[in-house]
Amino acid sequence: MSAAADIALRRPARRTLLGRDWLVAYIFLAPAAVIMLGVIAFPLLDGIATSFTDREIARPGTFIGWGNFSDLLSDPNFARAAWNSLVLTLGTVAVKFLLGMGSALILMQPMRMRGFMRTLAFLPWAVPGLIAGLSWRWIYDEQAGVLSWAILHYGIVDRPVYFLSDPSIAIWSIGIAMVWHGLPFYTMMFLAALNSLPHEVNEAAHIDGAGPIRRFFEVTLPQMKEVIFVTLMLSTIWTFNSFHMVFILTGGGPAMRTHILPTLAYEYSIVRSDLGLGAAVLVMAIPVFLVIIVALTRRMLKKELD
Amino acid sequence: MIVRSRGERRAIFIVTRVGLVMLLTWTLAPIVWIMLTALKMPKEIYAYPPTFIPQTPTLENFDKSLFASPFPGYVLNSIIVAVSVTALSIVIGALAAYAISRLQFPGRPAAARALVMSYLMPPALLFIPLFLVLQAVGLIDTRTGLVVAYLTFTVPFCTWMLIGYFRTIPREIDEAARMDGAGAARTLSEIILPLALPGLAVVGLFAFTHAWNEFLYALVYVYSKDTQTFTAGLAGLVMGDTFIWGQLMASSIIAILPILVIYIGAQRFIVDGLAAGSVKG
Repeated sequence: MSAAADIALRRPARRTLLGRDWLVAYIFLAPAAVIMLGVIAFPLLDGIATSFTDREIARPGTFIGWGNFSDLLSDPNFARAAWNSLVLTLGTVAVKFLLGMGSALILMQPMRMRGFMRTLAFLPWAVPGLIAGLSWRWIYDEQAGVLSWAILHYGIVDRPVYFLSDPSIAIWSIGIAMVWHGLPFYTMMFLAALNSLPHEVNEAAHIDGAGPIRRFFEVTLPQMKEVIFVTLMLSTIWTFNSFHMVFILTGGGPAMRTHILPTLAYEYSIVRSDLGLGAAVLVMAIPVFLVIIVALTRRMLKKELD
Repeated sequence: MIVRSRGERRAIFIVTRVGLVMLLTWTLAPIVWIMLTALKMPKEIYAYPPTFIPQTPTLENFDKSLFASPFPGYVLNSIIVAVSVTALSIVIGALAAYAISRLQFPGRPAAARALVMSYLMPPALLFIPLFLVLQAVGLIDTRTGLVVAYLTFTVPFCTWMLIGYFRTIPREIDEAARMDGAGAARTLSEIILPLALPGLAVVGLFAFTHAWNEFLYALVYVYSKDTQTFTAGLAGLVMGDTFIWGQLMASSIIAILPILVIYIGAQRFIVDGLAAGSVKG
């Protein structure tokens, strides 16, 4: 009998029941588990608990039940921040999707120095979010920014446009900056997907007489479903989550009109020191996230644990 | 091969070229503008109408940023934090990824699920509760606290990506090692890790980039000038009403350099790495 079979026969029953490597596995998992439990799960629960108190930065709070939540529900800033979050997220995701798909298709075509062109296209994503924000803040500057000058000079408008202090325009300005920064992620993902698609189906469709546009919608796009789904979901979470753009472009102003939920939470908890209220803002946003996170988790697990 | 008509080829050529020009203009204009601004003298920055090519180019903004401001200290802090985060993420992530992908133990699917939910948990939701925890253990305003905060994102994410990489290594190798009497630790360190080096590189890249670029935690958890990283530091320079644009832009360029260099060099890895989790094949 081989040595391996010998060992297998002598393996104690208990270890086989628990999976033969359980001790080692738990030891290996311990550091990661400490982090996930101690610094993710616990704070989350603690945060939810805090939202039911009037805790401030420098003093512990007392339980006030639904107080924070009822305050928020009658708070116009909260309503506007929730609306802004929704609109900004959905709007920029949609635009990034369209532009990203277009960019990926363009960068798929044979051309000189294609690799270099791709690298250039990916550049904004490598720039730290804060610095992207600073740059756009400078571009949008109303006294000396280049954009203000350009649109007046080229006659696009006849009066100065206040990109960041005009409430109806500020949201668009923020959106454009966010699209600039986040677009390369879509381009990258779609490019990777397009690169990995098999040629045969496309060629078969071509032989059957389908033109390029029809081939794209009926062959290419369906094959990209998985990647599109993951990209959209990830980007939705990250965009909804995005703090730096609003913070550095408008700080939530003018008059709290451009706040999104994360910046509003910051305003309430750090600037006004009302941790309970800030936590409550975030807690209200959790259900939205939970839906997306659960859907994404299910998808991603199906792929890995098969 | 798809054979196209000449008309079709011309149309594609034109659309592609036009699209490319628009895309690159839109993409590069802001970056170019940062660079031009950084090279202008402060008076020229505020010139109206704005100049494009600097009339009086100067390096004084870079000079001031490097030698007359707290900026170099910020960068040093960023380096310390980012390197620590990267090292810890790789180690903790490799251990956990090996366990989940190669070992048998009860609770394996639950661990995987917890992993994915962890890295999907948005920092903007987590930052207040995490602040309270860090405050309770006295880690506010320390680099260590910031490292811990960043690990909450990088460890689950890196573990997840490493699971994907480890899966590409055939199990037979593990079995052979086991036959030879190697325990899990030796199998991991002497056999799996060397084979997974590209994966480790990508994962390290992500961790470093995340720690380097991150803003919200850096802003909220650290406020002393000598401990801050450059993202929070730069924002701090802006808090007043005056923006010293020349210096800000010069500092920005200095801050982006390490990331740009690493990034351009490893661009192919990143595309593959991102796609690994979601694209078949």
